[in-house]
Amino acid sequence: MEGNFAGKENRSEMIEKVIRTHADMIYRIAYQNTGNYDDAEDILQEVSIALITKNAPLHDEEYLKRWLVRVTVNKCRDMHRHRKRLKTEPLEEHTDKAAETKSEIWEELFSLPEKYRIVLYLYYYENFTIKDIALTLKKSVNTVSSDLQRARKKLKILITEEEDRDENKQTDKSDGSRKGTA
Amino acid sequence: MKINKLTKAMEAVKAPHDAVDKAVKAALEADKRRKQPKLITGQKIRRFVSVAAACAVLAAGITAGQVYHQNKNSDITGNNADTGSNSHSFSLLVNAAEITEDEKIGLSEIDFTGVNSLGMNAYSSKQKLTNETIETVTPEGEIWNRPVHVFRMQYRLYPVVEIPIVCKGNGIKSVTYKVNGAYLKANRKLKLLSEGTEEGPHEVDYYDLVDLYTEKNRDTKYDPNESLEALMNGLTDYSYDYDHDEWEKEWKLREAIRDPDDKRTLEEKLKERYYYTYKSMTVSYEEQLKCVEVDEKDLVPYGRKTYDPAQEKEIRGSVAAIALLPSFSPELAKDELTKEAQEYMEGIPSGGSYGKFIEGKEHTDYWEALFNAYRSQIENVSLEVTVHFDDGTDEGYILELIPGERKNYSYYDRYDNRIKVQTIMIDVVVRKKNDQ
Repeated sequence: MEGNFAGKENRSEMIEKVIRTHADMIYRIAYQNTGNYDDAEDILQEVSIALITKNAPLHDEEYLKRWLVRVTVNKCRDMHRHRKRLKTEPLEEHTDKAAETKSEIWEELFSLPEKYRIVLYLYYYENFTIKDIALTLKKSVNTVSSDLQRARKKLKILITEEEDRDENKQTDKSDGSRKGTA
Repeated sequence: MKINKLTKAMEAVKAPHDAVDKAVKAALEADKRRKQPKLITGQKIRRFVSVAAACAVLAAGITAGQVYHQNKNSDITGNNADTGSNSHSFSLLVNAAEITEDEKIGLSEIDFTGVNSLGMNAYSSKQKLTNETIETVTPEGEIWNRPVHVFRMQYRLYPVVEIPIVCKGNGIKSVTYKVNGAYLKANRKLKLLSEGTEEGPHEVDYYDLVDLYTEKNRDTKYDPNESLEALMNGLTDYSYDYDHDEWEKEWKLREAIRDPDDKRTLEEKLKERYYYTYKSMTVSYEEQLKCVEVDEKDLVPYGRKTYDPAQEKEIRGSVAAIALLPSFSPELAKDELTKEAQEYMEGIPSGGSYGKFIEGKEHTDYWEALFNAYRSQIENVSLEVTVHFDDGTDEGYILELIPGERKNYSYYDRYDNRIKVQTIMIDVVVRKKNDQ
């Protein structure tokens, strides 16, 4: 886990540090959930405020990260729910920012249901264990496992290709070292 | 981190610096506000002043009726409404209604984005109801012989009817909100097709008939754009408290309802919903930011954002009666809608938004059916607010909802899309409990 927030820093510094440390994570979760950069920014702000208003566990780093993930996911749900009632047209497609990063991979990712996306993200990017994910999202371990499995199947190409290559490299290395020692 | 295309794509997404700066700033400001709840500036002061003025007049008005009735004492002291008791003072502010001695009833000039955190209830900013109108909406005549007040609100045809209430004064221990006459018609078709989402057009929402909540987030940020949307969209779709499992329960319920293998009745399924069974809730000032007990169940009060700072010794609550609608699904609505209305529903690709219009066509039957459904649901509901004082005494008020006429309404969203909605006028009759 990043950073130790339980030091002697004053409260403002601590809050700022927490936000800056986890901003990317919150933003990514929000983006992969909403598919919209502006919404992701809004959610980042909402979550930051929630840190204060909801008495976030600032001193418990491990719990804090899970807390942030959960709050972010719930904020996204709030937003979806809100949007259902009011049709709006996102303007994002017209921005350069969207064009830069909205790759085919993201398009494929967005074709998955949200529950798969968050599991994929936490597992592959944040290195959460399945148990951690289950704890964070308040789901059973079995549910998370099956979600992950289904998500993997659908995105098999994306998540295996370079991973395999990476593993192959490691295998080559270890083979080489074994040969060396032999 | 495992390296693959997926994680690389994720890596490329980073929070912009200015967004992070903004988030930090917002959090620090929230922290500051939390430490200094009374500190309000600029626009907030203006808004608050207008809200406070409206509320004060209403407080004086309600108390005026009360004093007039109880003590024949018309000594009204303006903002600090006094019931005549030495041990406590009390005022009940019901939304934007303005009741004064001279002009018996009307609606105050309200700040639309400020005081009414739920929109669609502003009849018109300056429009006053006349005595003639009052007579048509009250169930009995001679209303001024007893402390009865009537005001009119406008709601979207939407399954939420909410009456924001603020209890304020000295010596208040707690406030109980209760809903009377509300019931679940389990034998009715309860489906309401939503406006459709990207995930699928036929998502179905289910609503409880009765819901109660208190506001929890008292010091959140104020954003005029967001608040305007919130105004237009009712209470259930905005800012749920994430500290509890409500969402999970709700999703489980939805899945259960849609599960063809689940053979339970709809009523049985609905009973599992988290806040289905309760009809009353007591909230004390100290408890507003904590969990409250509701019919022996732990419930974290949930609510939406507040847009104006809560004041000391003020107990906020909103009583929300959520009307169930009959189904407007083409398959299920055959016995409830005329042929024209059914065709209209079938013609909507997203599956039945009641907020949509087909170009060039008037679908009177559809709106009429929806409107009548609302009427029939709302006219059975009354709300009860009881204020418990430290000295052991209580004061209770009954708010009776009387559905009125249907009206068109339109507004512009943040992207300048003109949104047309159908609304229903609801008159609220307020009377003291003991005077019924």
